[in-house]
Amino acid sequence: MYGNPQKRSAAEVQDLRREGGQWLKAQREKAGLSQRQLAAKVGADYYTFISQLETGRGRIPPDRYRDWAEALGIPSNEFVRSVLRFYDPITFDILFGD
Amino acid sequence: MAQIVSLLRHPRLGRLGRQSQDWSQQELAEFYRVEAALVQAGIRIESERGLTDEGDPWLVFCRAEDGETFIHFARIDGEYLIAGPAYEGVSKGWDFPSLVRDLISRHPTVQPTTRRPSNLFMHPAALLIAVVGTAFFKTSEAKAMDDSDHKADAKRQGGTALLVTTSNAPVSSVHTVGSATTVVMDANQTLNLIATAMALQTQQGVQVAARAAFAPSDLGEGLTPSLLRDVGGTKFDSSASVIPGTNVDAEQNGALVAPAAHVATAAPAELGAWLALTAVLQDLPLAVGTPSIESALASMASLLDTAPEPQRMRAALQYAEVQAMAAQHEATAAAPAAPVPTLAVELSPAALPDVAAVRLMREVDGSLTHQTVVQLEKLPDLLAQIIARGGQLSGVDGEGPSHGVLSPTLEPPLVNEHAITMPASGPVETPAGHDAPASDLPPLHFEQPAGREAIIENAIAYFVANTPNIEIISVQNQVVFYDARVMARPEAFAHNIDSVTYNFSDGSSVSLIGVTQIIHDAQGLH
Repeated sequence: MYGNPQKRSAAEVQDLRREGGQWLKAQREKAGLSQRQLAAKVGADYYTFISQLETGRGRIPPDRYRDWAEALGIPSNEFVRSVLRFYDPITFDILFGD
Repeated sequence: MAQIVSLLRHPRLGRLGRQSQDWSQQELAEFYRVEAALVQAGIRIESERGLTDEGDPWLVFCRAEDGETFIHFARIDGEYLIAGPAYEGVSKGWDFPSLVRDLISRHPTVQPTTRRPSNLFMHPAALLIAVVGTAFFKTSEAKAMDDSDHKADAKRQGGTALLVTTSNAPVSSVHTVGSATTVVMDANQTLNLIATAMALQTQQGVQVAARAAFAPSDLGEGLTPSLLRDVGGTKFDSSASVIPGTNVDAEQNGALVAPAAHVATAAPAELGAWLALTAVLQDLPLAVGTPSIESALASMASLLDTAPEPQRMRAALQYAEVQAMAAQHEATAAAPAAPVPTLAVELSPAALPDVAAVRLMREVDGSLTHQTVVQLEKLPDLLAQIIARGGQLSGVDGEGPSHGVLSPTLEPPLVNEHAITMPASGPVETPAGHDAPASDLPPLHFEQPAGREAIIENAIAYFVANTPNIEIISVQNQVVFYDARVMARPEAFAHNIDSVTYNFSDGSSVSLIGVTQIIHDAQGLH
């Protein structure tokens, strides 16, 4: 389980997650993949997990970032930078702020 | 009346000719019942559900604190699925009740251990509550290990040391200090209680769960105490508001039986009932089938009533003609009055030994009437060590004025420089293993205007009044009042703990363990 304290309110975290979910959904649709197809490509045990993530609940396990990037046709560093904005805003600000 | 329906049942939908559809109303009702039961028990969770792009439904339970999901339910191509970090992988099955039972059987920590054969059972609705509750607790533990800001968790960790690490003795029985008290619970409360106890047992073991139940107050913002505090407060308060009507009905029409039922109003007594249930839950076996609420409650009553001494508790299935107690969980608030099965559990002070220490405890203060006293087979090592190092007053149950003499003990105390020995009219008694040598210090004599027992009673009352969270343990003829923080966070209080023990001529004793200043002040009343 990936604990990820962000010192933000639960509502703020949830808003970011929902925003991230929408971004993931857009990327999947842009790649022309169904949720089931994406699940197969990223090694998810059950494809309803993709729907869950796109709703903004939960997060992509970091050890799957490369798989997701490849499945969505996005360079890994670009993909990580994007999801970091939603999942780890503090880290994102430190690395990419200003 | 509120009713717990059978677990999720959904027509099997195969992959061929699949017809994806959302959860049925019954399935959703069952999920929300689980959520409501756990929220009511103080577990801060929330749920979210959705449909995939193919129309398959899913539902997750999340920690309200941070939104993290800890268990995922889905129905994919008609096959049910349960997944989450707590259960190490994905469980699938075409029949949901069977899936839940299989999950529990493959993860034995979810179910209580069975020490003796029995045909008693757990209601399947409670099993689903336990599955979700256990997932919450298990992921909470994982999160606690990862969390750098873990003050609350550290507090909880501190709280989990307690009796399990300091004593192997199980809780023998639970009593109240004063009069007997009957606590009445409805089916929802009972099931919540069971689920909570199961989850706590999974998390911390039955002894710690039991201990936390009777002493939740000091464990602060940790998971367990809030959960238990809510168990002792919200749910039982609602019970209290209902049962008086039960008694009236019983008296008026004679149709309802409510023997010796009076409503518990003091939280400690309610928590005591919780503890009593928890103490016997380790014997509660798991069974299959879909028993009725009444049979579940009757089984629980039978379990309590037939448990071997001293765990045996008077318990009975009763019927209360009341408005639905769990209407808060239902969409329709106004349910017609109907006989509602309830479980009545009686807590009694009877089994405590009739010794001077126990009699004195009962006379100390009216506020202790409903305080629970937990009998152990062995005093926790930490408490025993503190008592051994602290002050000792012997022969304190004589009449007339008392005299105090300061003299050192055999073992130098940690905090006190000197232990106190109060001579009785007869030979001075010293506790076993503490034959005090002749003192090199000049004796300090003091006169007291009241009888010795009254003096000790005042000291105990002072200690109780000035200690935020009192717990009482009884081991044979020994009664120990202690500040809950001593056991909850021993490291924090290691240099600020003191004790005084009053030894009576019948071999019984009362010990006070708490903050040094309070102990000193209490002794100042001598």
